[in-house]
Amino acid sequence: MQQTDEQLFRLMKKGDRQAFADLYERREPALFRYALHMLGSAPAAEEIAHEVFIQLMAVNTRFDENRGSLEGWMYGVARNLIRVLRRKGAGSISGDPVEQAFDHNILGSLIDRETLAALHAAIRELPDGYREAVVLCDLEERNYDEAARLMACPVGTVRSRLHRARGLLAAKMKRLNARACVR
Amino acid sequence: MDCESNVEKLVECARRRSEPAGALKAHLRACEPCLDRWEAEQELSAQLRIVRMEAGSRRSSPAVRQALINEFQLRQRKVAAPRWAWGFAMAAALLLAVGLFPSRTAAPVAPAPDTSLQQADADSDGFIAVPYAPPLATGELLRIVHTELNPAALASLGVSVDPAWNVQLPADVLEGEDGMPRAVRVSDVDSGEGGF
Repeated sequence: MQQTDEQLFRLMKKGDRQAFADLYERREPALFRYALHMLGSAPAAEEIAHEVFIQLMAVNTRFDENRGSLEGWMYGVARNLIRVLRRKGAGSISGDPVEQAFDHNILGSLIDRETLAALHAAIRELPDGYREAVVLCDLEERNYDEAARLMACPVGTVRSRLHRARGLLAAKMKRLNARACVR
Repeated sequence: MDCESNVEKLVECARRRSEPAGALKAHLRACEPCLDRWEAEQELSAQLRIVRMEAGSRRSSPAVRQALINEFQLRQRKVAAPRWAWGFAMAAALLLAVGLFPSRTAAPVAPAPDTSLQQADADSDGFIAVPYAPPLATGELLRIVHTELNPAALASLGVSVDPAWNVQLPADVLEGEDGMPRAVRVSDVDSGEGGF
């Protein structure tokens, strides 16, 4: 039977290297992608994911399993780090834009590069809460309950943020398509 | 059925890739703005799916993973070290208590020439602490070196002997890891063991 995050965390705190490695394998990819979509930079996303695990292994980790899940705590740390990074200014987020970091070999024919870049840009321009809802629900395929737990807000809030965010994205993409048709 | 509540249903249909049914389908036929939104939502869902598929396999580099695991091991060693160090410090303190402290209390550091030998003789191990010796570090190991010292050398270590003795005296010197003497004991002149 697979161990829970919290069980792995307890083992990790006792010095179990394998428990730490298992926790990393389980949670790092999604955390990385979350940061990647929120920030639009692969190096910055790597930095965020790395820092979450550094904080996790700290002696004075403030995670308390009586107050929530470990995954929720990790996303909370990542969210705060992302806010700090964004507050420092977009200029400080180095690296290639997220759309340039993707591999277009297989999917290139399904959507043109310009449209994809516009969609990435539109996602990045969304307000934080809206963007997080799109990233978790539509890009990470989390259900509303999971997204609410990770975003630390009610399910209804997640749903309404997602619907508004999609409205903004749809309108923006529609304008882009209209301009493309005129050209 | 109002358009606002329809949009919510349309969004969910687009996300699940399902077709609107019943009253919603009928509404779409009659309401152009809702039909536009439905088409836009379908297109957006398709584009977001592609973004999702492209990002699906992305993660931090293996080098970052390895660096983190190394960092974890390093921190564990640091956390474990104090426990080990405390144990070692306790052992060292015990050794000092057994080896040094009695000699400090029982034997004078610079005894008078006539009485020092008798006082040292009364002590069980006879070690005399070397004055002004640097303090031992926590967990520092001690070793006893058997050697021969002349009266002048003994005097420099705080052991006062009759200067008329112009011979090398067998002595045990308690050294720290730095090689500095911390205590000295003059062995029996005749037998080479015990006090004198």
